[in-house]
Amino acid sequence: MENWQSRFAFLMAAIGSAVGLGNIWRFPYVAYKNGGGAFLIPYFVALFTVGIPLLIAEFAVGSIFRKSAPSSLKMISKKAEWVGWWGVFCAFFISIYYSTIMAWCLCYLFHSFSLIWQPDAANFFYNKFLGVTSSPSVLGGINIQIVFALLFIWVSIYLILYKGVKSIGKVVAITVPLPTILLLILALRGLTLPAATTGLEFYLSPDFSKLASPSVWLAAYAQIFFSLSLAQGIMIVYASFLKKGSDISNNAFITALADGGTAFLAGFAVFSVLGYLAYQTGVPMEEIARGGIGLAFITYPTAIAKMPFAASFFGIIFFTALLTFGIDSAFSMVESITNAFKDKFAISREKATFVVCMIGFLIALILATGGGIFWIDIMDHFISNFALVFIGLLECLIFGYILGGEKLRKYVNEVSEIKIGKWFSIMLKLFAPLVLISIALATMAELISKGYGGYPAWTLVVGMFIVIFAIIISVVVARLKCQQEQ
Amino acid sequence: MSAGAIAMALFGSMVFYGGLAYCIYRAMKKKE
Repeated sequence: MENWQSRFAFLMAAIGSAVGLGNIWRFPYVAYKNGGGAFLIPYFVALFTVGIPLLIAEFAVGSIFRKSAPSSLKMISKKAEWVGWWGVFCAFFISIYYSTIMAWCLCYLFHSFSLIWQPDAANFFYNKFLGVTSSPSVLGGINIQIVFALLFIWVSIYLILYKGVKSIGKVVAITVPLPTILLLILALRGLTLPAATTGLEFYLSPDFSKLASPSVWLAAYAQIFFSLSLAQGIMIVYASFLKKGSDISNNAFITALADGGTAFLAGFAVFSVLGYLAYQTGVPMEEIARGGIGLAFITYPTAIAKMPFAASFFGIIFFTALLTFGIDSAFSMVESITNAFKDKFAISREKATFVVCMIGFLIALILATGGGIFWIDIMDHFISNFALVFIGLLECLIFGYILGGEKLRKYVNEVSEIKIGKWFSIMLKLFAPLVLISIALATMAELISKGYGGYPAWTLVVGMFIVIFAIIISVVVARLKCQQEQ
Repeated sequence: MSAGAIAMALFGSMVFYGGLAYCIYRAMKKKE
């Protein structure tokens, strides 16, 4: 039985999984769009009412059953195994497009030496670097540069994972503190630039009137849910390597607060630099502020290139931070599925990791084409907003009603430093399911009324098919009788 | 920067980093 070398190793791995690219490019923008500093209020409410209870539940289930998500859920109820598989397959699909974005970061890390994206970062990113095609139906050629970067990423993931949790512990001891220090350097640099406070004003100035809007609260709950790596079997499998009797609730609090704290710090690094960019170009902040891929590969690089000195150095720091923040999340997703196969089919860790990494790399090649960016966007939208939300909902019901919220709470309080009250069961059984249903309904209503991203209808059907396909293979794999069971 | 923005920066820092420091303190206390 594998175990973490120390509590520190487990915490670093869990924080590394939770803190990813979304903390840098999603949280600051979501906060800005939803009331600025006032967004912190729904964010903290969401953190304590859904994020932390679900994280505690996942840690507890992993720690009790000491198996991957599908095997743990099977031990709760044989009919629940497929839900675990659905989660780990979604984690695998996410790791595929996540690795592609990390491959872009790796390429941009090298491009930072010459600041090659100047003078027009958008033109460089879309036309020269990606060679974006006219629509998702035209894939275009494969970008060799991205293929090599992808190969590097997947080989790294394999090398980190194949030896087991001890090797993961050693890697996260570097890849979690390092990007945090780099982010701190970026934030300090940003704060010393002219007009940095203009940017921070946009990020933090509170608009309390927005708190009356349900969409702001839903955005806070969605941010928490997606950021904490929930419903993908990751936290269950990481907790399964804890020694018996290890703390649960305090570990969950530390993981969730470190995740939120990193996102909050990222806001300072991002918005201070955006304020400087607005000051340099004369373009209003409203037009400059954006999130996601556009922020990481267009806006931020543009701002870096305009820095008064050592622009390349800060470019290297920014993309190294993205890369190191991303790698922990990427290998945690792969770890989730490899352990599921290892438990079910009694195959070696090395073999399972090799096969998963090989398949992941081969599928990711599709995303290294000119049309890849469209498919990354479509996959992300459907898997995050539909699949993960429904898996989270099913997990709440399985943990809360079949396993028993009170039973979980009793176990957590027996082993933990911070005792949790009855609020935990109420959140798990009633409140969290209600919130997740609301997120799913709101997303569904928006998809039906507005479509998504201006894509043709058939691409959205494909997006939905990916979600349904993941359910079908989950049910099939769950029904397979493995050697051990026979 | 406005007073509101400064207040929210302090509030966020207090909950995130103060909360984190408290949880780490509890973990260290148990270790002792």
